[in-house]
Amino acid sequence: MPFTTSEVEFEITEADSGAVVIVRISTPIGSLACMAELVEEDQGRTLRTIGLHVDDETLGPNGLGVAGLRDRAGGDGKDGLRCDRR
Amino acid sequence: MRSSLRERLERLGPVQGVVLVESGSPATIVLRRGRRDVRSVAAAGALARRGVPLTKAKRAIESLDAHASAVLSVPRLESLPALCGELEAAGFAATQVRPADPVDVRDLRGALGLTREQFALRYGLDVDTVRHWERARGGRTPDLAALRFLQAIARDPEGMARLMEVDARPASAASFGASDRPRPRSDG
Repeated sequence: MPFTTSEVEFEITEADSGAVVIVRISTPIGSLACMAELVEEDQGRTLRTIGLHVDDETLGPNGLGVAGLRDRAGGDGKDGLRCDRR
Repeated sequence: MRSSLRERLERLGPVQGVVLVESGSPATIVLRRGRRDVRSVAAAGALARRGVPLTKAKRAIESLDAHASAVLSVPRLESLPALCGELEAAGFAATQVRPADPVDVRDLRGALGLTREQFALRYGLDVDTVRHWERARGGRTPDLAALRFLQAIARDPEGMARLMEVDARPASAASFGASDRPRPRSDG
């Protein structure tokens, strides 16, 4: 189920001068916390996430799903999805 | 973070720094997985709030895929139980590496009932060095490595003494046990 832009909120936490960030994504059905190293590629047109971890904070397992997450990420540049909760 | 990357992120939502715990002391912790399903982001956040760079926290957590434990320097530990509680909720376990507290060598030796020479021989130390450590005035303080060794002796005197010994028997006999206990009999 796609969400409208106004229904999705991003809160980004940057802890140091490195490229690892935590992004909390709030959706109408719950929130996710993601952590990854971000690298800009293709002259800034592509944002690549390396070593992505996803915690479901209020969503149950697969509450949003990989497809939904990919849709929200708006791209396919991920090198792989590290799945901590199976 | 590069300014161009930060600008891109700011288009998504507010970019903020980690809110650190108010105060705390430096500590070294050992991190382990507590269960199979973990919340890595929550654990990294707990470490970052204690001043651990997020990159280091992430690397340490990821290293647990291949290793049993990871050691981390935590710049600002306000309470070990508080950190352990947060990590446990995220599926991890943590312990603190014992601080390098001073050891009274004379008291330690006395508790073991050893003369200075026996103590030095038992643990492979130089007797003059032990004498200097015990001298109340003008003596030398054990350096960090020696202090850690003395702490280990205080904690497990027999075990540390065993580590100083060489067993001349073949490896298979030595691994059977120093006391040569008989194997438990199987009645099956």
